[in-house]
Formats: sequence, structure tokens, C-alpha cells
Amino acid sequence: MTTSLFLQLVVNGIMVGGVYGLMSLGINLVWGVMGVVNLAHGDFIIAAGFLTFWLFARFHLNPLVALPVGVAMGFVLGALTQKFLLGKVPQDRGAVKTSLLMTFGVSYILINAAQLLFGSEFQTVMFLPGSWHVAGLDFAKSRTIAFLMASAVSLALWAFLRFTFAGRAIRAVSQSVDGASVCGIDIPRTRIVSFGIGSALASAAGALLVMIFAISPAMGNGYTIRSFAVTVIGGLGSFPGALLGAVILGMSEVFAGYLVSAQIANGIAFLLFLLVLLARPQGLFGRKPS
Amino acid sequence: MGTRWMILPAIAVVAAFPKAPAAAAEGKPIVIGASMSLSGPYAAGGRYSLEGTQLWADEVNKQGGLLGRPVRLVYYDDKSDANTGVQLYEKLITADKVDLLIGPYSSAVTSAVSTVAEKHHMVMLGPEAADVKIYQRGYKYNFQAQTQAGRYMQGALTLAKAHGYKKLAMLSEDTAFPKAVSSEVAKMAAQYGLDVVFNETYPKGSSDFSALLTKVKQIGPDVVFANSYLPDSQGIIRQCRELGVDAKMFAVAVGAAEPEFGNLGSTAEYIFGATQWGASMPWPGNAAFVTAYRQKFNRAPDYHSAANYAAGQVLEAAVKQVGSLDQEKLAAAISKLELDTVYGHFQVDRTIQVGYNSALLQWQNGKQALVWPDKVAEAKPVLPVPPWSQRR
Amino acid sequence: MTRLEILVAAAAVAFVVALPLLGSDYLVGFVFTTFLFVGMAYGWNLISGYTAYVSFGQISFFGIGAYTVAILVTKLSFGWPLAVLAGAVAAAALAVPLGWAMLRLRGPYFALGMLGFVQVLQMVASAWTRLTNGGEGIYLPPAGSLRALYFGSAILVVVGIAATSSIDRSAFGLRLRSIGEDEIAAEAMGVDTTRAKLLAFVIASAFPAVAGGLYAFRLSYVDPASAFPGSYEVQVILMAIFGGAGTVFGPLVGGVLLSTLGEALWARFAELHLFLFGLIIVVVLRYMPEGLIPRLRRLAASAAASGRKAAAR
Repeated sequence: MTTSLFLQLVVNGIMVGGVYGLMSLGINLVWGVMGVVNLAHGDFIIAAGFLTFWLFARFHLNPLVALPVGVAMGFVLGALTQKFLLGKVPQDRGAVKTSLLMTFGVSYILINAAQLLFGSEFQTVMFLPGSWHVAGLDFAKSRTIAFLMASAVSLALWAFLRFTFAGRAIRAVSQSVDGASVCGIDIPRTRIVSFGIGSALASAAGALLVMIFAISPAMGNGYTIRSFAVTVIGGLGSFPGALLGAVILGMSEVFAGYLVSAQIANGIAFLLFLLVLLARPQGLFGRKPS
Repeated sequence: MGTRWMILPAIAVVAAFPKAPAAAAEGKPIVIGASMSLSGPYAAGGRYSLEGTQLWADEVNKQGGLLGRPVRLVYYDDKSDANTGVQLYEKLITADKVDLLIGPYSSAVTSAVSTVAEKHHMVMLGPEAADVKIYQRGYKYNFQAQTQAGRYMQGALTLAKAHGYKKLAMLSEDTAFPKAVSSEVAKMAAQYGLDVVFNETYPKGSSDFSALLTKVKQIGPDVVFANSYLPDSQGIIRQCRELGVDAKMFAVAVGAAEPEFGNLGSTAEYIFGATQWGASMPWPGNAAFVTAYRQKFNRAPDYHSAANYAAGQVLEAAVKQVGSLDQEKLAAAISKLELDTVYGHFQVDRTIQVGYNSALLQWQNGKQALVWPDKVAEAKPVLPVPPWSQRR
Repeated sequence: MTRLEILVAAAAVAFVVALPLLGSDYLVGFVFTTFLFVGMAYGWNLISGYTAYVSFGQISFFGIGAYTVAILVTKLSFGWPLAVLAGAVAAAALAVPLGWAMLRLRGPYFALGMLGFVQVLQMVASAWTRLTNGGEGIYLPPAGSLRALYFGSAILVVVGIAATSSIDRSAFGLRLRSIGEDEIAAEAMGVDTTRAKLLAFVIASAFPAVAGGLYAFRLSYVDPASAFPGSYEVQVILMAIFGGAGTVFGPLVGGVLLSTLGEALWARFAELHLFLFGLIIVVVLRYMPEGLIPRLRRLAASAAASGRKAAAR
């Protein structure tokens, strides 16, 4: 393998990792703050992608301009899901099971609603064709822009969590619910905002994804798994872990696709996920799972 | 305790599904059943196919129907899924009790569904099934009504030979039709002076071909074939540009014939596509078909529409010849029938289609132009294609 | 069993046996499919209803059953009944190491693990072309007798009811329930939770495997997409929880009711069908999480109680 080929594969892996990172941040937030495993995550991603496509096809709206629309929709739907559904689950021993099943139901509601509204075909937004050639490597324009946007949104999230009151409230709740409530933080409200943000992040990822290649409703499940794979690899509750996990997954997929076959590349996320869950459930930097 | 509750639903269920009614009365419509890919990866071609069948049914009714009875089309969406298609054809045959069948879109779905038709001894034409293996299983009731997969890339191969190209790379979706195309091409390649340097598959439903294409780029082929359907054809060509995969010729098996391929914008320029039909081809009734189609659907037909329309024509001819809907007699008639349809010369040899042929188009100046064979060509092929970096 | 229950059971058996003679081919096919779902719901019920280890990957075993039948019938000329049983054995054999690995994971990790495992199996089915023919799929010979397959599916349901009923009343069932309520406490009380969970998991795996095998033979076609249909998972889970997870007749009632509802929708309104099922899951969990049968029992009990109160006044 030549150096330039190796570097090209690395670049491809990092670029796809950027979008995976964005996807997993949403999971990290929701799982870390509320201990809820959102099985509908991938469907938020795809639904937002379809919305973006529809805005582009119908109104010729630039996908980067449509991004906030998808994000807003994701936030609202996520907040509503938490407020009226998940938030109402009695916090007894059956809570985990009920929440899991509920998000499972939500995933079917969401993805089929998207199909009813936007159709069920493969769709993509043909935006910025071609690539930039830098240092002998090809940087596909659409992927590069997606990577940069994903990084920007991730940075914005980090700043939000670090510097705003709402962000710190979220971090407080994820560390200790009782401690946070003693400090006067409105727990239910914080949870609503968290779930909303988690879904908003997923939607942002979906809006970027549809710019890169074609998406179809069936892909939701695969992205749910990938998002969890990244979170598990990087470690729950760790922001840098999520980003590192994303790059690891991205590069594994690219190298597996190149060295072995497209079929195996498709399944790498799940394999890594299972391996990490069984061998080292806390991932790279995460805390031990409760 | 819970057993009591079973009674009510049980009664409801039996009442909802009565057994077969008595024989049909005169003037009752002839029901034609089909499943179509109206969603999923095959939706683009599926829609055109459905419209072709619908237009045919309309025209038959305008001319007094079939055997003096109106024709009614019953169809469902199989979601480009073989599994769903099988269940739908069972429903069409056993619940909707259709009189005649038309096959679904794609070799994969047709192959699965053909067993259902065969099991129920019902004739089924396959207008969207190019894979001959479907028709080599000793089935008696299934007939191929589409050009054989092996003939799809003939035009591209001929042009490649004429220009002395040597190295051929192929990407194929891992399903029946694309694999049939790639295996036929691999067998014929040497005759055209081509050497197959890359031949790999990707799973159905893939969107990201960058890993495969990176491999192709390393090899540096002269010719790239994408044996794929519309979404993957678009994805592969788009990613060829993004990854700087240059070749002297790009050809796709399905998709370039759809106007939607033009969504690629300047990326679609110079791409070749197999097509089995063109609006300008001088088959009897073709011009009238195109006009009527435009009027009804507000868009131009593509070859899928023409193939389904032609299948209708074949069914119609067979029914008229036999004078009834007896499936055994229809099967016997179709196996010997030769008919010039809007799609070409229909003729089967032990249920495999031998009459229909293929053509080749190229996207030039944002439009499709037939470039092969000479007798139907509207323009000259542009070869070799300029490298991606030099395109707008 | 009370006299009434015996009568109802006999009527049910008579109905099932008489159906192929009275009903159309389509009706028999519909009931066949319903029975497959009910059977799978019983399987899910055993692992996820009783032990609260929510699995979203039971269709892994469905696919194993489907592919086992397809391969044995086409490559080794097995008859379908033997092939279907072989599929159940294959699934159970896989369930042992899989369960041992997965059941060590708590709650959401287990759920995710099983969800992921389906994808792994799908990938294996796509890639191992020598065995499975990859994406092209395997074509089986046309199923000769729908009636025979139908009785096979009826047997699956009977086994499901019998197994669940006997487990429900046994010490084993009690152990499973204790795991579902509070696994740590159960361990503290000396229950061998690992063994109990694993046994439930293995038994549960046989049901979707048989269903998958029967299904594959009926359809005469198997490929990676149709062997692991995600929409079946949601339907099975919904049927179990709608009827009442952890009850003996919940899966049956839930299965029949929802299958009939789905029948009106699946062909013409596929997305609406699944949208509705998702909606029902959510509504049931929000307002009737214990399921239909327990809820009806409570209503009947409270109606009886207020009846007694009224009589006593």
C-alpha cells in the first residue's frame, strides 16, 4: 500500500468519523443524563435527512440553510417525547424495560411518519459535486463541508455544556440527580432539554448525511447501532471519547471496506460494538456502567 | 381464563374471509394483478413500469376491452423487496382472485415471485426480469419479457473494443440481475479484447462506495461498468468524481435511462447507459405509445414503461388467440408467439427471451442520446471522456 | 382446568382443525402467518416477559431457522419437517454461547447487544456466499401443501401455550419472575440466575427458529433481507406486550388481535401499518403497561368486588 493511498483512506475515515461523532454525542448526552437508551436515534437522523431533502427538492433550499430547520424539528420532537412519554414512565424497577420499549415504538412512529410525508425512496441532495485536491489527496467537497459543520456543531455543544447554565445543569444531573436537585435544578425540565438536544444533534447529523450520499428509511437501525457503537467504544459520558470512538469506527469501516469487502465493512460497527461491550464495557474513557 | 377471549376474534376472522365465489358472470371485468416497486431502491424504474401497464390497460378498454370484457388492474407496492412481493402475489392469486398476472420489477423480485405463479399454475410474463437463470428452472408458466442480462452491455463492450480499451472494472449490486450482467460480461470480455481487472459486489441498499472505488482507482481501469439500479448508479458515478476515479468510459446497467439520472448535473455528462428501447425506434405503434403516455402521465416514457406496455400487448394477443383465460392454453400460446411490440420483437425460446435486444445511450449536453446501434443512433458517442478535474 | 376452559379449548382445537376445510386458501395462509407470529410472541415472552431481559434480536433466530431450512432442503434434500426441527436445534445451539455472552450484560446493554447481533448475522448471510448464496438468496422448491405447513404452525402455538403454561406454574417460572423483579435480590436468595436466564434464552430461541423455517419454506425464497425482517420484531414485541407480557395467554390474544388489524393494512398501507403499531406500543406502555389480559382481569375483579359490595348492602 502506498503512503498516499494509506493517507487517502485515513482522510476518508476521519471525514466519515466526524459525522459519526456528531451522531454519538446525542446518544452520550441522553444516555449519560437520563440513563435512557434511545432506540429511535437513527430514525431521528434519517427523518431529518428526509426533511432536508424535501426542503431542497421542493423549495431549492440550500441544505446548510435547511440544517437549522431539521435541528429545530429534532429538538421539538425529542422534547415532546421526553415530556409526554418517557418522562411519564414510573421510575420503578421496570423503568429501563419500559423506556427501551417506548423508544422502540417511537422509532417506528418516526420513520413511518417520515415515509408517509416524504416518500420511501432513496434520496440525496446533490450539493457541491466534485472534490478539492490538496497535497495529492482528494477531499470530496460534500464530505469536507459535512465534516467541518459536524465539528462546528460539536464545538458549539461543548461550549454550551461548559459555559451556559443550562449546560452545566445537564452535566450536574448526569453526575448526580439528588445532588443536582438539592442545588435547586429543575430535574424534569433539564431532562426534557437534554433529550431535545440529543435528538437535535441526531437531526443535524442526518441533514449532513443526506448531502453526502443517498439515504433510505431502512438505514435508521444501522445508524442507531453505529451511534451506540461509537459511544460504547469511546466510553459513556466522555466527550473526547465519543470523538475518538467515532474516528476509530470511521477508519475501521474504510479500511475493512478496502482490505476485505463492502459486506464486511457494513457489519464492522456491530462487531466492534459487541466486542467492546463484552470485553471492556466502559470503553476507552468512560465510567463503569451502572 | 384468557381462553374465553379467543372466541370473538375467531368468529370475526372466519367471517371476513369467505371461500371462493361461484364462476364469474358475463361483463365482469378481467382482473390483472401485479406488485410493483413503488418504494425502496427500485422505485424509479418501478413507477415507469406501472405506468406502462396502466396505459396498456386504458388503451385496451378504449378499444372495447379484452374478450368483450373491461380490464381492471390491481396492484400493490412490494417495496423493492422479494419477500413482500411473494406475499403480495399470494394475496393477488388467493384473495383478490386475479385472472391474469404481470410480473414485478427486477430480476430478484421476479425470481422469488415466479415460484408463486408456478405453484398456482398461472401464466406470468416477466417484463422487468433480465436474468435468464429465472427461466432455466424448468418452470412452464413464467415467460421472460425483457432483454436478457447478457445483452445489456453489448453496446458498451462494442464501443470499448472499437476504441481498443483493455482494462475493465465492474461493480455490481449483490442481487440477481447485476450479478447476471457481470457474469455474462466476464464470459464475453475476451471476445471484445477486454481484461476484467476488478469485479466486486456491494450489498443491496448501499450508499457509500468509496472503499470499493478507492480500490478501482488504484487499478486504473480503462472502462468502468456499474451493474446497478438508479440510486447506486448515481452514487457510484458521483463518488467516482469525488474520489477522482478516472476512466476512458463509464457505463451503467440501469439508471442512465431515467431522466432522474440528470439530477447529477454536470457529473452525468458523458456517462453511458444501457437501454432497451428508445422513443425514436421504428417499432409498430411506438410513436403512438409515446404520445399517449405523455398525455396521460405528463412525462416521457422510459424503457421500463415500454417493456410493461409490450407485455400487455403480448398478453392481449395470447388471450385473443386462445379465446379464453385458460392458463394452460395461454402458456402454450405464449411459448410459440412472435409479436412485434412497441419494445421490439417478442419471441421466447423455452421461456427465455430471445427476440428483444439492447441499445446504448450517452448523456450529452444534459440530455440522453442514443449512440448505438447505428440504425437507431441519434448522435455519435463521445470517447474517451474528459477527466473529472477538467469538468465544470 | 375448569369445565368452561376445557370446552373453550376443545372448540379452539376444532376450529383450528376444521379451518382448512371451511376457509379459503387465503384465510388459511393468513392464520398460518398469525400462528407464526403468536409462536414468536411466546418465545419473546419467555425471555423478555418473565425475566425482563428485553431482546430486540429474536429475529436472529428466525433467520437461522429460515436459512437452515433453505440450505438443508436445497443442498441436502431434507424434508421440511426435519429441516425445521434442525433449524430449532441450530438456533438453540447458537443461543447457548450467545446467551452466555449477552446475558452478562444488564438491561440496555443486552438490548443493544441483541439488536446489533441481528445486523452481524445479516452481514454473515451476505458475505458467506458459499453457504447462503449471498444477496442473491436461496430458492426453495415450491411448497406442496399449505395445509401441512399450517398444522406445523398450529403445533408451534400449542407448544408455546403448553410450555409457557407449565413454566408459569413451576419453580423455574418463579425463578424467572424473580430475576425479572430484582435480579440482585434473586441472586442473594440463592437463585442460580445465570443458569435460569440461559435456559429461558435457549428455549425462547427455538420459537422464532421454527417460525422462520416454516416461513422460508412457504415463501420458497430466503435472502439476507427477508430472513431478518426488522418489522417482524416490532410486531412480535407488540403482540406480547399488548396481550400481556409474562402471562400465559397474552401472546395468543395479542397476536390474533393485532394480526387481524395488520391484515387490513399491510398490503395497501404498509407505512401506516407500522406507524400504527409503533403508536400502539407507545400508548400501551403509557396507559396499560401490564397488557390487555391483566388489565381485563383487574376490571373483572373490581367489577366482581363492587358487585359483591352492592349485594352485601
